[in-house]
Amino acid sequence: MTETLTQHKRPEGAFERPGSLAPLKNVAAMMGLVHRLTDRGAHMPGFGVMHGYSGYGKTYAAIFAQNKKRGPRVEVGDSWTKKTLVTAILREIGVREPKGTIAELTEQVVGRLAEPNHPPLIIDEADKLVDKGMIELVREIQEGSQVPLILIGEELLPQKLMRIERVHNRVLDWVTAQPCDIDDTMKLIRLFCPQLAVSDGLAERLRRGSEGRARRIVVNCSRLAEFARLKGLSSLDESTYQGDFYTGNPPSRKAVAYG
Amino acid sequence: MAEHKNNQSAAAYWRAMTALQRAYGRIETQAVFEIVGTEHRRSLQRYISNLLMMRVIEPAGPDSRRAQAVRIINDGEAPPLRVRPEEVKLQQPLWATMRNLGHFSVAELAVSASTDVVHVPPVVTNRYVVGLWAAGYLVPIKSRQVGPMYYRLLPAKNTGPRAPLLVPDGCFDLNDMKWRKPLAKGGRT
Repeated sequence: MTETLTQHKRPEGAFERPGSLAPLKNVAAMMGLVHRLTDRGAHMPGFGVMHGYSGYGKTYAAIFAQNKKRGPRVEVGDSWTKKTLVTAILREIGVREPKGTIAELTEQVVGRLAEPNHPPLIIDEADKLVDKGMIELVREIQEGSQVPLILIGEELLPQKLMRIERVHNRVLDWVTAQPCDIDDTMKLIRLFCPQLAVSDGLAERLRRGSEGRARRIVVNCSRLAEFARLKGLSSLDESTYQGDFYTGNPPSRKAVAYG
Repeated sequence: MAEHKNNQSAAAYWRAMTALQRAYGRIETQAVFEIVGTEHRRSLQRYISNLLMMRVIEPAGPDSRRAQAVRIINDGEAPPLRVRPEEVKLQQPLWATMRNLGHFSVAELAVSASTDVVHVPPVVTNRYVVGLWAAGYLVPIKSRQVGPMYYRLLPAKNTGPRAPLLVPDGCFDLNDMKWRKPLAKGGRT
């Protein structure tokens, strides 16, 4: 495949619009959690947890918090060990080539995160920390450094943490990520289709088709925008939009057979 | 031509700074002026100021505000002489967001990287995405004939938390302190 820079041209009509994900409910909930942790009293627990089903916008919320606070974020991998975890945290806080034993690396992490007013450390896919027996190491890091630490994971993360009392007791607050409601959906439509008027009925159809999952809604917004552009329309409702929505489901046998 | 001259100047300044650091463990800025020539004073002051802003060097003296002595944090190739500080500040949230999203369109990236305080304009986003694509960090993915172009950050190019700097004649990665020249306009295979 040969590509040229001209193929990467600026998308028409998609520029110079302001906006961020700040008004979304899950983003607001995450920022509330961040503020409660950073403003907590000296003897208050330092863990915060955001949990919920995949696709509900936890990643968008974490990105917003990271960009707002300029803090480190790591995403735990399936193959990670304790050493991978502390090495990854050190890299994210500016150590180019971390070296040493797990104990030495952990000490370095604690030392760096303990700096006054250090932004929160965000650990995504935190379920794996529990599954792999690494959560106590994270507790040690939080206790030693007193850094605000946010664990993000799937819907069962609270139950998993309950089994480890020493961590569970140190959670200041829990936030459950919610699917996008119609209000969130309309906000995303305004962000990603700023020149398109979309009826409430079509927005609700889009929301249901996307199962309230933020990222699917964003993909489907671009489908609406593209459909309107090709048809030369500035507004869409349920009767004018004849396209389908991205649902994340695999294509049916019929669709595969007939293309 | 001007960029070539800038790169030569940056290389000379950086060579002097790394030599001083190796010899003395810190860099007296006055010593650098004397090595490279006092006619470079203004240019060198701007270079040091940019390096401090990019956290390539850090103050290493009792009076850190005046930065009369500095220390290189991460050694490597000579960072660029001329950068646009306002754009560098916007490249950081873009890079952090790219690393988190995995794949993204320009519009999604611009919105996701913005906060209620810092707005990352889509024009800047597009310039950064195209620059990183040209430097080999991103690959385009497109599953449909219509709709926006999507990009993916190559795992091997996820070099670290610091945003690679896009400058007129290339891309400088602050994580491994190496230049990555963009591929020639006209295409890549």
